Amino acid sequence: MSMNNPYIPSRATIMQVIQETVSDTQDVKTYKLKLDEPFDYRPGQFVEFSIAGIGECTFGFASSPLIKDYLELTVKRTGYVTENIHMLSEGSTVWIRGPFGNTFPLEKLEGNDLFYVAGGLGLAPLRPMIDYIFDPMYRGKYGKINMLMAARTPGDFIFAYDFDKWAAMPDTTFYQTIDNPMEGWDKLVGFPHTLIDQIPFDMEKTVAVLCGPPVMIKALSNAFVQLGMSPERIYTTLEMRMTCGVGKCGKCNIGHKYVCIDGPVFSMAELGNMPNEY
Amino acid sequence: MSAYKLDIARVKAALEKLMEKYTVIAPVMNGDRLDYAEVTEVNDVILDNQLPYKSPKEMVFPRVEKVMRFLEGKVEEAQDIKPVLLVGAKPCDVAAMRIFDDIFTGDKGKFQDPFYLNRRNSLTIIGLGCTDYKNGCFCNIRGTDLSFAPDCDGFLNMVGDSFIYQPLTDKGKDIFTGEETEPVKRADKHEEELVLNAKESEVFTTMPWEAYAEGCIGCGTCTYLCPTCHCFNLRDAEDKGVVTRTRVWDSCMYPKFTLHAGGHNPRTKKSERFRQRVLHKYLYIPENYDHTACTGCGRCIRACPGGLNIMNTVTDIKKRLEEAKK
Amino acid sequence: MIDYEKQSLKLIETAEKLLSDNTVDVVLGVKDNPEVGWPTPYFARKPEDAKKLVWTEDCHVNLANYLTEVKGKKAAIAAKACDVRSIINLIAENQLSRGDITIIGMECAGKMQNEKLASACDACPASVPNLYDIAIAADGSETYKNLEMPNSSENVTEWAIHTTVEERLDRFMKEIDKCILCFACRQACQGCYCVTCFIDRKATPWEQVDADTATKMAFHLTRAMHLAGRCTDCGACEKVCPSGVNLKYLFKGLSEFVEETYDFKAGMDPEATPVLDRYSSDDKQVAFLGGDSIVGI
Repeated sequence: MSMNNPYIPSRATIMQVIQETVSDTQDVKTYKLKLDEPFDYRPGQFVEFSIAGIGECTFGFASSPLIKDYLELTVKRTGYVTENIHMLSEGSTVWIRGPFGNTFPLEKLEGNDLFYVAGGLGLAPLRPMIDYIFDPMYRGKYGKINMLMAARTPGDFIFAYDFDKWAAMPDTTFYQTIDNPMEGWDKLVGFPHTLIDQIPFDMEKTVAVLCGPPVMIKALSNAFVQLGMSPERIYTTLEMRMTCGVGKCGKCNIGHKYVCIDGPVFSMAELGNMPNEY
Repeated sequence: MSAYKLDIARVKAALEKLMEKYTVIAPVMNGDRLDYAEVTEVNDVILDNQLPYKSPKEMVFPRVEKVMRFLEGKVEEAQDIKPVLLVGAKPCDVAAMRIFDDIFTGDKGKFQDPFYLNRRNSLTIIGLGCTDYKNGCFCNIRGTDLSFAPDCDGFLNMVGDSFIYQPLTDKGKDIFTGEETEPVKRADKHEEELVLNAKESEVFTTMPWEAYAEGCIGCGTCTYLCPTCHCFNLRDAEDKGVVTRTRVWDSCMYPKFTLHAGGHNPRTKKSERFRQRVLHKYLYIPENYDHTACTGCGRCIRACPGGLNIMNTVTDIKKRLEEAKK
Repeated sequence: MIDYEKQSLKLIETAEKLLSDNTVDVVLGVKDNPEVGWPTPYFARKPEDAKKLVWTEDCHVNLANYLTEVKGKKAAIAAKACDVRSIINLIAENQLSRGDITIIGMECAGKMQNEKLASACDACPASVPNLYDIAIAADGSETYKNLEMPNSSENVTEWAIHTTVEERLDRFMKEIDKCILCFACRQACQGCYCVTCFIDRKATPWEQVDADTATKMAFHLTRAMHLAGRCTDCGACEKVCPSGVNLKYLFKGLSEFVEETYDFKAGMDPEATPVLDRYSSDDKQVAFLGGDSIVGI
């Protein structure tokens, strides 16, 4: 992004394309990008990613901000721009502007236990935070960590290659669940909101960080609140159709809050005060 | 600064000279209606009580703004702008500039908009007072004066057959001169009566939005003509191998405005879209920038084929809020 | 010629009755709108709402389109002859069900817009609708007077025959030059009910990079082709246009061509199969491969 013009992107080159989902749809890929003008970012922020002549799309960062050589974006094939992104291969030129938006309140969360719940592609925007906190430099500042990863089928998990590494981290409990029972699956089965009461965690000390489809977020946060968690301690990150990323274009507002500058990270307490229009 | 008295011949003579230095924009006839447009013949300029059909927002926020071009793996940014002189902007249209200034140059989003700033800095605005209200005008209850607007570089008022020019800034100092005179006595400042002092939760679901919006056909003409509507989209187009990215107007009255690629749409109904338009002007922008984003020009009311009326809607919401408090 | 006061009173009385005995859930009409200067659409849902309804020489709005929004409900509609043609077309194309609709046929001698006769009303074929349930005649009675219709200015058909291709193109370009691509014409058109319009497939309305002539031509010509044999000549497109684009020159010729070639006129018979839905081996091929004469195009 040009220093004085937030609309001008800078160039990036695709270093590697990683096929994430191995289910029938195979509709999620991760793109490892090398930037001409690298920038710093924080977990929770997002970028505007574009192909010249096709258009722009909004994606959350999917790799740890501690990695300085490259960044990763995880893209599900779902619309016009993402279809075109999925046709790109290594060496292609793409354009990036950012970083935009607020961040997960990492400093504020220090000293707390964490409970990550991610559904499907919802894991992508949480991964920068997960990797950041697992870094030996920061791990000591946080308590026990619970991770519940959900997907439709075993083939729909993204970043599955990271799971063993995460599960082996100190003081961390790692769970996986799929929607329906399947032969050969010996882990959890069912939607995350039906499972959290079976997972032991310290209600007073834990902060929940959720991301997934809107229905999952709504059901999950209700389930946490019913178990006695305060809405201030539940965080999620929203997605909205966006154009500018800088609070001008008027697309992503929920009431007077703009998801691009006031979000995308909101606590459930904040969302409770906003109109239900997302 | 003192004011000057001059007749229309002198105004036009001055404009003739100014056309050498500036691109002069003023109300001129475009077919059978009055529009703010570039002046090519000074006698075409019409300075009277009529309100031009479209707002002058295109001077600072054009319908299509070139953002950049992709050239051989590099980007080429947009170029400089020739100075523009906008003469005859009505008080409601001048007031709208303040709202644009807030949104595009304010610190709320911490990002300044370079395209807007570029055009705004090269623009000199000379306001023109109205002598009377037109059908559909409601600037009186929106706190806009008939005979004065502060956010411009100079102001013309019609007094009998002649004009009184009041320069307001350095940019406006030498635009018109004439025989020195007293500035026009301003009419009493109107109160901003039509404002919503409410929380989002008090109006979002409780008001009869479906009834307010039932005539809407979703054409978006209201947002096209509105002097404060500023939503946009970025769009790429390829011509002979060169990709140009442009910023184009968009409208919250279109269903695709908020449609996610995945198919989810937070605003599927026309009542929800109309609610967004009304509350964005009367609740969301005031919350973020401290004043209402409607100047009472009445263009949306006059042009709406479905007869939607933002003034009646807000008045009705106010009435319902007061009743609820009792 | 027309007693609008008596028509209004009769309309209010009728609407009140239909709403109070629950014959219908909603009456579509127009109400006074002083800020706009002409009456605008109004949905009366309770008997006491009925008194807001008016009928004047300015009520040029075609309300047929709003019927699709109250689909499934019992609805009455105050409709002029042109509006009724639109309703018939929507019934013929299975967008509305005749049983749900009560047509209050308002006798009309042409409507005014901006203090002139609306362009679409010039050379209107009839003052009386060809399908109705309740009649409100020019004098407020139930017996139609079959008024003579205004037929003043240029005859578009004659004009089309006696002009060259260049002149017609010139006229068309002049008209669409005014277009701002807001698509109000499409939104107001009874025939434009596609869930996703061809022009919205990729870009939303104003995204067309410049409102350039090519885009305008593409839009207006494609839309015209989609409305061949379906346009009911109601003029709603012209009446809602914020820029005053006169589309009559495009559509009138098209309708006349279809009528002459395939003997079909949209909006005449709710039972008729729409012309684009039927095929016969002896259909004239002029429109397809070019024939001797193509009238009005």
